[in-house]
This record gives sequence, structure tokens and C-alpha cells, in this order.
Amino acid sequence: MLKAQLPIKERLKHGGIMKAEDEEEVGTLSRVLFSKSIEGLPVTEVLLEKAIPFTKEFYLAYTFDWRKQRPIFMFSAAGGAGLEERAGTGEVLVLDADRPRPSFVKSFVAETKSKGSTEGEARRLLRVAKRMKKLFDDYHAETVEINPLAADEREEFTALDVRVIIDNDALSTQKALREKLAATLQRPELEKPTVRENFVQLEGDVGVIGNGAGLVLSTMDLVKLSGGEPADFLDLGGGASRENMVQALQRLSKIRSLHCIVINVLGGITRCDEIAQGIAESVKTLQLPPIYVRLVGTNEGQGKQILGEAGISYFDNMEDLVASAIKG
Amino acid sequence: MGIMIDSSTRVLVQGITGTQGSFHTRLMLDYGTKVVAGTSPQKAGLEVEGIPVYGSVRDALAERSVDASIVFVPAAFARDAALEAISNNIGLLVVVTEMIPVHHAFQIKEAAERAGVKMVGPNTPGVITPGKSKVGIMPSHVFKPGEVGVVSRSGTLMYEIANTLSSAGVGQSTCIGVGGDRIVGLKVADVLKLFRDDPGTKAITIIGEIGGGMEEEAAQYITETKYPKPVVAFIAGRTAPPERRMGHAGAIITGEVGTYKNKRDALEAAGLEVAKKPSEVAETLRKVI
Repeated sequence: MLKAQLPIKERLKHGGIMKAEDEEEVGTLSRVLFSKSIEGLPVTEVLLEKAIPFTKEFYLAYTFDWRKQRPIFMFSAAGGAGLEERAGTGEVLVLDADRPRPSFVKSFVAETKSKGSTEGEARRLLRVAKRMKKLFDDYHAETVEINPLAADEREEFTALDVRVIIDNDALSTQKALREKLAATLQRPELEKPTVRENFVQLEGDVGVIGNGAGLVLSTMDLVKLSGGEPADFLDLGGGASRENMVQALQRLSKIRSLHCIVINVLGGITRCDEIAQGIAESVKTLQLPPIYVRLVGTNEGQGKQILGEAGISYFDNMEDLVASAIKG
Repeated sequence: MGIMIDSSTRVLVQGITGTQGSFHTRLMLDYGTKVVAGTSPQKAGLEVEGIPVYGSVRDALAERSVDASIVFVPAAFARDAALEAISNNIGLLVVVTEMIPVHHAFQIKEAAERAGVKMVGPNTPGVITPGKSKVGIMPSHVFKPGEVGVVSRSGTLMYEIANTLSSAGVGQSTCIGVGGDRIVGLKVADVLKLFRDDPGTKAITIIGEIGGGMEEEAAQYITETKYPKPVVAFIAGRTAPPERRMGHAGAIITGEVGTYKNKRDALEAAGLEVAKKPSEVAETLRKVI
């Protein structure tokens, strides 16, 4: 078996896993794999291992149910590819991961035996689950999943595919893990404690910047309602400085063919004069499309004065802002 | 009236000596909030803005009576701070800190529920009862006293809509940001429950956003309990693409649940008006009050 080592799900479906019948095929198939990019990630490592004949495929996972806001354990005696699509069909047992141990064990053993496992197999599956839970807790995982856990005729287990998702916000306290991830995933940025991603590029031609995720999202919605298409989501966050504003505009100046940029700032801990200085400075130094600004809140008067002197139009209301920008 | 806090609420600030903690202690005091004590493990005996600093919650409680605690402690230590407040039976816990690991957030939430502590956040702007008290970091000037309860998943959007409400002459009883993370204490439906029993709240505004299932849950709660007060909603993120994290961790659409359409349909089916623009919230509220 040849398996592209990539941090994505459903590798088989994406053509990241292949089976070679002989040595020669190992050569040709690895060339195929190494020339591939899957989900935007180039294949740089391939795991080569013996194909294991198995009689059963189990699915085991610890993850969070975000609706119920609780950790859960999921199990199916019919694991393998395509399990996601069958998740709601009753084939998957879902247990509260924090349920008291005896009641957890009872439900789990009953389920596995009803699906044809022996008592011994059920107990050994339980041991796997217990170790997965330890990994889930110790490393602050959002998900620890084995799919499939294959069992051969002698009931020997092999984890054929494993997926672990670590909570970004928990990386800052896990230095060793951070360094390991940065090296193996070739993502050096992981070594530094992460800041929340605040920029997403989209298809449209109206640049959008604001402070606060909800405010930026609703500004994008207004752009769309007014007949425009947002080109991005860019959240300055709380307490943005002049430099943050300049960096945001630098980011947008790299997107070609923008029709205009709308900046929506409602200052609380963010100061309007800082924002205005950042804008005024950027307009002089960067190649930018027309800019429309809504600026209210802390130090609003100073902010507007700075914009006025720089000849930039400003508004008090976000709906006027977007309407003018789109008509522009 | 209003819920959770009023001018008599005595507040403890955990992490009072940090930049955010001391800055917002000043602003809360300016607004009239009764801040009575602060904590900081290494700085017991100091004063911040005239407020005594203690080494632990227990030490603070030995000398002061406290009704609510607001947590500014950095993410790595926020769980321990929050658990300390909970184990000392402080009835209201507001966790402002962002980027708290989800396993920690879950542990705090579990402990709060077991102890019967009302937990707001993490990653929340907090709670404000306009004209009386604020336990949070929101810019005070956009809020005006009145009879509309506001519950929001987003901070700045709560300020935005409170601002349009205030300018349109629609004041607020209490405004609460439930927090932008995937695991939070009180959810939208829990806050609706509190507003239900408050004689000072005549109508409610839900400010939602894509991701998660809190708006759908709120719609279900409204239907099941034949909610007696008019509710108007606004949902941000109709143009956001799925599977992309847009700022808030809570705002990721996965599958059907959490999309703009799913939320709007659920709320409309529960008989709510869903405003298309922030400014429409005030107009719609004026119609229903």
C-alpha cells in the first residue's frame, strides 16, 4: 500500500492511497503520487507498507459535538471509507465521552456484541478506546479518529488510518508538539503560538475591512444585498493600531482588480484616530482603489479630521457606507 | 430592571493588574459598576484604580462580598482562575479571555453548571445593564436604558445594533454577548429564559451569526415554551462560504446546520421577524412593542 502523508480526511477518495501488485508498480505509483497535489497540498512523503488482509473494519473516534458542546465517543462495527455519509443512520454508536466509566463500558460492550464481536474483542476494543481518550485529553485534541481499525482472522488489530486534530488554541502551551508539527507538516508558522486567522480571500471585487468578526460578516452581507460581491473577510480585531490598519490595506493592495474598499470601524477599544492615520498613510504609499470609510466611536472627531485632510470620504452609518461604495 | 446585574452588583476583577484588566476596571468604575476587589497571584496588597488586589479569590472573599467575577487572566491560566471563582460560589462568572483551549472551556462550563453558576463567555464582551452597571469591555456610549433585551454572539455587532437602537430611541434593559467560541457558558436560549422572567424586558433581540446551532436551539425554545415576548433576530454571515473560519471559532459552517438559511428558516418558523439589515432591527422592534 502507498499512502500519501497529508493532514486531510478521506485520502482514499482523493486518490492519496493506492495499492501496488508488485515492485515495479510501487515505482510507477509512487511517481504518480509524488506528482500530485491534494486539496492544495503537494505530496512530499509517501508511506509504503504491506497490505494487510482483514475481515472487519471498526470506526472509533473521540471528538466534540459542537451543538451540544460536549466531547463524545463514536463507534461503528462497520468502519471504512464513506462512514461520514452513514453517520446519522444508527450504524454509529454515540456515547457521552465523559459518562461514568461503568456505564460507558456496559453500553460499548453491548453494542459491539450485538454487531457480532466476541466478549474478548469488545474488551480489546475498549482498551484501544481508553488509550485514544488519553491522547484526546493529554494533547488537547479536537478529534482523535481511527478509521478503519482493521481486525484480521486472528483478531489482531491494525490502525490503517488515523486522524488527529489538535486545538490551535492549546498549541501555545505544548512546545514539544508544536515543534514536531511544524517540522513534519512543513509549516514553520506553527512553531509560534498562533494568532487567530483573520483574513479569508473570496471571489468578489469589493474589499472589506472591519473590526470584529460579526461586524465584518454583516458588512459583507450588506455589500451583497446592495448588488456587490465581497472580495475578502478581514477582521482587524480589537484595539487595532495604525500599523495593523496599514498591514490590512497592504494585504488588499495585492488583490488585483478591486473595484473599491469599504472600511467599517466601530471603535470601542479601537481608536478612530489610529485607524484614520493608517488609512491616510496607506493612501499615499500604496496603489489602492477608491476607499470608503465608516468611522465612529472612540476619538471619532480626530479620526474624521485626519480623513478629511487626506481627502477620503467617510460616513457615520454602515448602510450609507456600503450604498455609496457600490454606486461609486 | 434588567437581568444578571444592576447597580448593586459587587464585582471582582480576576487579572486586575494586567493591561486589559486595569484599563477596563477604570472604565467599569467610570460607568458606575461596583468593583470591590481584584486578584493577581503575585501582586497581593497593591491597589489598582483604588481597588484592593488580593492573591486569591478566597483571600478577596475573606474581606469583601462579591456577586460577580470578570476574568481577564491570560488564556493559559484562565481555566484555573475561572474554577477558583466557581468553587468559591460566585454566582456570575464573565470570562472575557479569548483563545482558551476547548478542553478547558468544557471543564469550566461543566463546573459552572454543577455549581449553579451563571457563566458568560469565554471570548465575550460581557454584560451591560445600561445606566446601571457593566461587567464587560463594551463601549458604554452606544447603550441607552430601556426595555429591549439584547443577546448577541458577536461583540462589535452587538455594539452596532445597540447603537442603531439607541439612536432610534429604543433603549435596552440588558445586553449580553454570549461569546464567540465553540464552547460557551450561557447560550442564546438560556438568556431568553432569563429575559422571560424580567418585568423590565418587553421585547428581545437575538443577534446571531453563522456556525453552531444556538439560533436553531433558540427557535425551538421559543416554539416549545410559547415564548410570551416578541423577539426580533438578525443573523450575520449570509455571504460567508462554508468550512472557512471567519474570525470567531464559533462561526464555521459545517454541513447543513449553522448556515444562514438554516438559522433564518428555523427562526421564521418559530414566528420571529428576521431583519435583513442592522438598521431594520429598530424598525421591526418598534412595530412589535
